[in-house]
Amino acid sequence: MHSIAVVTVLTLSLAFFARNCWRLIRMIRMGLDDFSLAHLASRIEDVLINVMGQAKLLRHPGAGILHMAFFYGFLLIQVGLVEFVLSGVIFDAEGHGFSYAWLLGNPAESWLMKVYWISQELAIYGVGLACVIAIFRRWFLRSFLPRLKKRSVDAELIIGFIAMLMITLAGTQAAEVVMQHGVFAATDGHWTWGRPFTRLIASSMSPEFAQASYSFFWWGHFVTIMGFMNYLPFSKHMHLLGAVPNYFLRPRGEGKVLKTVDFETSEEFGVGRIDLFAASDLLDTFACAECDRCSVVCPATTTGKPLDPQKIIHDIKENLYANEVNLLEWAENGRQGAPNCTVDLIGGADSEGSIHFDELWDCTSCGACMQECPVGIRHVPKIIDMRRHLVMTEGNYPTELETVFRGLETNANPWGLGANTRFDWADGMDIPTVESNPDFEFLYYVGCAGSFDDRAKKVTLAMIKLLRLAEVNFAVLGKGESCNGETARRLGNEYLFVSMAGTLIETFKTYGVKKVVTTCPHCLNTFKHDYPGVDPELALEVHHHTDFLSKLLTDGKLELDGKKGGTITYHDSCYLSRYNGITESPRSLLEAAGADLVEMERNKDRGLCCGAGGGRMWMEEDTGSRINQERTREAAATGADTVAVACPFCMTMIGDGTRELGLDEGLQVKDVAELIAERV
Amino acid sequence: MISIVIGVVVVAALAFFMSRSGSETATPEPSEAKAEPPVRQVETPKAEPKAKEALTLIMSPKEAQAAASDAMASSEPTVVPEGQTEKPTSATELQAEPENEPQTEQEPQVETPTATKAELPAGGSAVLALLDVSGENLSSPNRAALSAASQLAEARGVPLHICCLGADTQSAAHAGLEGATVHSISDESLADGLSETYTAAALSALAAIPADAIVGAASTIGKGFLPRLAEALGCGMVSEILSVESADTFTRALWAGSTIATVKGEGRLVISVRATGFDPAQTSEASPQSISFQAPPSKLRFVERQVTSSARPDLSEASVVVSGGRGTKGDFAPIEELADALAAGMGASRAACDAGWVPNDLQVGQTGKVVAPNLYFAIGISGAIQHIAGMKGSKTIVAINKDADAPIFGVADYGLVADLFDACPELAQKVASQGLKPTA
Ligand SMILES: Cc1cc2nc3c(=O)[nH]c(=O)nc-3n(C[C@H](O)[C@H](O)[C@H](O)COP(=O)(O)OP(=O)(O)OC[C@H]3O[C@@H](n4cnc5c(N)ncnc54)[C@H](O)[C@@H]3O)c2cc1C
Ligand code: SF4
Ligand code: SF4
Repeated sequence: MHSIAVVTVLTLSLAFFARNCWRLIRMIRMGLDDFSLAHLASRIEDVLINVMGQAKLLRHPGAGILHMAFFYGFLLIQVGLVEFVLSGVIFDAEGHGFSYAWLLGNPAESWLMKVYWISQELAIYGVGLACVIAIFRRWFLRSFLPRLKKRSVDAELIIGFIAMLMITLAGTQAAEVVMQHGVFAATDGHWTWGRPFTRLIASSMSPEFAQASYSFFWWGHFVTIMGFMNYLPFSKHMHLLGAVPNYFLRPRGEGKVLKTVDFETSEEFGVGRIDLFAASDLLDTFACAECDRCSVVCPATTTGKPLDPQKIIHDIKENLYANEVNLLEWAENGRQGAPNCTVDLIGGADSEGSIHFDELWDCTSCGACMQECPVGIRHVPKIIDMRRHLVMTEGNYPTELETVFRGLETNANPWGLGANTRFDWADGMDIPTVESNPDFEFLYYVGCAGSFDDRAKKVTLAMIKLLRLAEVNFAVLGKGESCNGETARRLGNEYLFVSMAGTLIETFKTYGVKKVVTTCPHCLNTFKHDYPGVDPELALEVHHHTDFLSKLLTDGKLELDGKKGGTITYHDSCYLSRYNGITESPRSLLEAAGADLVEMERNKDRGLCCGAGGGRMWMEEDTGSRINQERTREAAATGADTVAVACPFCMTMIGDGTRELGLDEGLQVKDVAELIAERV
Repeated sequence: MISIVIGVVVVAALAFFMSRSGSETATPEPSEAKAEPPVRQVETPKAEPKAKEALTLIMSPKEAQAAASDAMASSEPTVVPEGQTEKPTSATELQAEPENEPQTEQEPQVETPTATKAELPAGGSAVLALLDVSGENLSSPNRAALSAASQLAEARGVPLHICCLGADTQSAAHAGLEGATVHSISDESLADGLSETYTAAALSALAAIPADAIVGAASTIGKGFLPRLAEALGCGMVSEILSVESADTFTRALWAGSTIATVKGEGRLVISVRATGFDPAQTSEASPQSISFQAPPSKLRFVERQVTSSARPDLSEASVVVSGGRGTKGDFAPIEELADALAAGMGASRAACDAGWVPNDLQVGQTGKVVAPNLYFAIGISGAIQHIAGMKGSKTIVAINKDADAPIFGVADYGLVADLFDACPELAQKVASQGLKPTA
């Protein structure tokens, strides 16, 4: 009778669970299939590091260790779960339920059994303790923890569930110990040292109480498990099921490499409807734990703009749910034409499941969200995909961009300044060009800012001075240089990007360019991560000037005067630190230049964006507070007299920030190259 | 005891099941039938082959065909202007009835377009100039469009029809050209300037005047409705032509005027005309024939017109612009004084707008307005590239700045190293006392 009841409940629960999982899988497959097993080793590594190693979570040790306790506790309890369920189905002659001891032998002798019991004890009381701490954090420390400020009923419910599971399981075990004499005797046998807590609880139970409460605890635990399992697919705990497949199946590149567009065959560019997302992009929305780690680091969210990366992910998922019926029908009919989506993905009237135009344009593509996301969600490619739709399919974008696109098309620079004046910065300086020095080793790609922006031109000149001093065999493209298209790409104008990249790659090939040095992180990243997608054969060796100068210094090609510099704080560019892992070279250069380095609160791969990336440099920032001012305040708070930057856009942003805040008297903004050039 | 627990569990599980499945209970069977394999798919990467199938389905030729015919089907009704819907419909009805003889199936398909064209005959039929008008006089873009239209009519050797569209079409009375017939469509709904309404009006005009070439000015309204008209007619469009080369060949500017393309149009054409390409036509008196028009219901609704009224000329149109920056330290009086003396428009750098010293719509620059006046004054503006991007096209640039190293002097034709609080009043006074008002 008991066994039948258990099996019935188990079967019903599993069937319901399977059905819901199948529903999710079908929804994920509404997207364009992009799953692949290529680079299997790196996929496995991804899972090992990020799931088993909990790497992202441990970036914040407090919450990280807590989560690790839950995670490993749960894994261990899964082993016990099999024994638990079987103990309700299979009974011995005396009516005792199944125990691993039947297989492994008497725990007094079996080491395996001892290890097992210890592991369960650790798991139950470890997770139990973690629950207590989690409850404490959520109830009492809420106001001190930015991420927990927004109350989540779901999260509280889940902690409740887990606590319930642990209480009932502990109860079951203790009662079992009291009831079942012989091998399980609580007071008898030397193995009990491995189960101190169970023993403690058991010793306070009378046999009658144990007898009466055993099935209460057992069923309580069983029902909670079944309920929890079936609650999963509807809650943030879905990440339990989604994280592993996401880490395993997501396209390589951690979201830093954008998709290419096939202009020959595509009829719609970018993503304006849910079914146009890649299936991997839909899969990762189901992995979201709604933990808000992305939101609290997002420069747009934290300065009060409509964009919230978590909401983007949530809305994509909600859109899928909202259009589920029509999508399934469409898929069943062989995916004829476009599905009829009743809730628009972009710009729909109700906000759940629909993303507002402004949200998409607020993103600086800084990558902070992806850096923090514990389940490996890729926000930026999705945002860019939707921008692509707005730009290429709808032609609907902020008016300021009209000028940028036209400038790029007609004069190969975003300001639209005369292409024929591109090399004017070098007037009267006899700079080696690819024509006058065809045997150059390194191409110095000056970039648009370095060529046109008066402030950035000073950095160009400092760089030239250093290259000459170090006797580097270099050349520039001069008048023949053109923009690499980075801005166009991040703004969703992939078509323009591809044509600009094509032009520049042609130029590179004409002059046999193999090694490139650039003073701009955006150029660096584009050559490194974007160009292989345009021309896989173009094997460029690309150096950012901070790396390059640092190498010159260690090689003894450059010598500094050894004088003391001022107090300097270094602002990490997103495209250096997060996208390309360059954090140490600029710092070591500054130290070599005699600076007292002081760090801002958010630094290295946690640095706050200056606000210019993702094409934001070309858009007005009229919602919320200004990102550049936020960052400038943070820099000023270090008490430094100079902010060192390594990017022309950061230079504009932080420089403007100091003037806007009236801090420009005491706080200069200089490129690392300029600070080095002052010391040679 | 146990049985009670079981009862509770079963009821709870069922209740849970019902509440979550809600909308789906209609089709529980198929989903449950398929429930098993996919569970495995989550855990192992075997999902791939299945998903691949789905991809091939998306791209199957069958579907592409279906999509194409869908598109055709949906564009057909729009091809047919009002009043002509009967013929094509009967054609399709006819097509549906006869047995599946392959020939009859093909014929009506060919006929449908010809039937449409029969009402607006191709080849040798008229050129129609559509003018969006208001007020007493014809604007110069409209006059340029008239020149283009009459050149085209001459090149084709066909009659020219002119139709004025607007809420107020009094100017039609003097929109006459030799050999041309003037019409007008007057309707209140056109006052709102909605492209949809203009497109509908244009279709009404075409229903009355069979024309094969439709010409209009590339004005704000023209840019809005002419492409829609081309789409509705399912015909080609040549936008912003600079000249008429022959009956079907035109030139137009590419890449901001750095290249001139010669383009040839086939069949029926909608053509928009860039005003700078043509001399304005000299028109004569005419007695326009009115064409009736019923504005169709539209999803667009005119909400409000906001006109900023300012004594100074509009920044983007002024031939002289005086801009101030952070150097004013919030006191724009000297800038205003100079602007008034020169009857100039006033601009500002972002720094000045951000500080709230002047309204945001005065911002000149990359993310503000892009201006190209004959004469631009940058006063107390350092000349950051984001500012320069918005005024580099000015014919003559004058900079006043107390810092001789300010980058603005790099782009200025005339520079004055001075304190703006001294220089501006002095300059304003000199301009006023010598009557040096620049001509527009
Ligand atoms: C995303 C983004 C978009 C931007 N878009 C724009 C834009 O569209 N338009 C724009 O203008 N800027 C824009 N900027 C800002 C731009 O980078 C500069 O910060 C801004 O143009 C500086 O304004 P300014 O020249 O008035 O101020 P400053 O650079 O501070 O220059 C003030 C100048 O006034 C001079 N001065 C001071 N006192 C006097 C005096 N008594 N007499 C004479 N001269 C004096 C000083 O020598 C100095 O050269 C943008 C910036 C960003 C980040
Ligand atoms: S990339 Fe940066 S700005 Fe964009 S959503 Fe992520 S954190 Fe926010
Ligand atoms: S997207 Fe990632 S970081 Fe953001 S809430 Fe979801 S799981 Fe957390």
